[in-house]
Amino acid sequence: MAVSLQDGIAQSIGFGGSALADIQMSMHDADGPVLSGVAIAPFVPDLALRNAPVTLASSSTTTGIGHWFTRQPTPGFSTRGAGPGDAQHNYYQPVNDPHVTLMDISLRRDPGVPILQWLRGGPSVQIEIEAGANAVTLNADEDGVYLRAVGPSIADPSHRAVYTVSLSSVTPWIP
Amino acid sequence: MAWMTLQEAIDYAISPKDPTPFGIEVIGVISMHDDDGTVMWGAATFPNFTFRPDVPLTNWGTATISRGGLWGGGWLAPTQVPGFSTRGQGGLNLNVATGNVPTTTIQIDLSVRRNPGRPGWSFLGLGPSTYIEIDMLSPAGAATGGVTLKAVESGPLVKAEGPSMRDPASTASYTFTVWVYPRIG
Repeated sequence: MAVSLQDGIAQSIGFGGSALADIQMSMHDADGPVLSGVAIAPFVPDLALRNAPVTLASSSTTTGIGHWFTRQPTPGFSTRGAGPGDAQHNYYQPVNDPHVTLMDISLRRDPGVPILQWLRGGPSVQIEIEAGANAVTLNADEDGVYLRAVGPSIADPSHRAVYTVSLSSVTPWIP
Repeated sequence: MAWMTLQEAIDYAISPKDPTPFGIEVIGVISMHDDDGTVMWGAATFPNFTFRPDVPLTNWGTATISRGGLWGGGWLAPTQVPGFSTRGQGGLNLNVATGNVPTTTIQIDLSVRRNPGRPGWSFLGLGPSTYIEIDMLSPAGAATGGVTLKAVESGPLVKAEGPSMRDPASTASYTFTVWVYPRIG
């Protein structure tokens, strides 16, 4: 049974921060083609985006009212870097084509800056996918167990596409 | 292919911009991502998938559709809602693309319709509305169940969420796209 990103993060923290998420991704291009992808991604306590700059500097201030303004850690899951095995586990492929494209996928949930929530500084979810020369960073809607976003196609960035991402499980991981 | 919103596809089907001596053809693609992570997809083409000036909903009771009343289905409601459907034309197969279940094929009828609404009356709930309806078919082609989904359009992408066709106890995210073009010969 699927778990929401928020629950997956909570479970990972419960596992001492060492956990793996089983990720399924689908992408439906506006021009018709459908891609499906799978990945196994370790939990990352503070996951930075590659091509969307963080506009609030990190701060160690956690006392007094400082934490109202402080950028919080942004936990998530990412296949970048150390993983449970070889990168061949992380790929997408067209539904009618055996050709496989390796990818890195990252999901993160930014809790936002507490005092700025009324200015849309509240929680937000991002999906980042990198595959060869193409990369997309997507602001996603968290809809139950689904992360859904509309943005450039990872296969052809000149096309628009709908992305749906879900986590089927989060399990402890001993690297 | 070229991107086409559902309304553009309907407009083209009603009044093609290009010469269409042999009529038009329609391609529709539906994908479903359920909470088990299973991705299913299907493509419907001519002669199974055609434009209809009116696509009535069966209404499988899985969406919050008003069945009538003054504003929802009364005298202000249009008498016909155009769209595209495979009903009565053989349907299509929804196939597992990947996932952790054995390969599965489900025979379905796919209907998508767009009510343009009443301009200026959106505040009374009479704005545009789009529905995707999927009927599950028996081997003999009879509808045995299905889902009726209120959809949201994002340019050419029609999105909805509702019960999974593979397992109605699960939810699923659906996406639909359509393209209409002149038929060649």
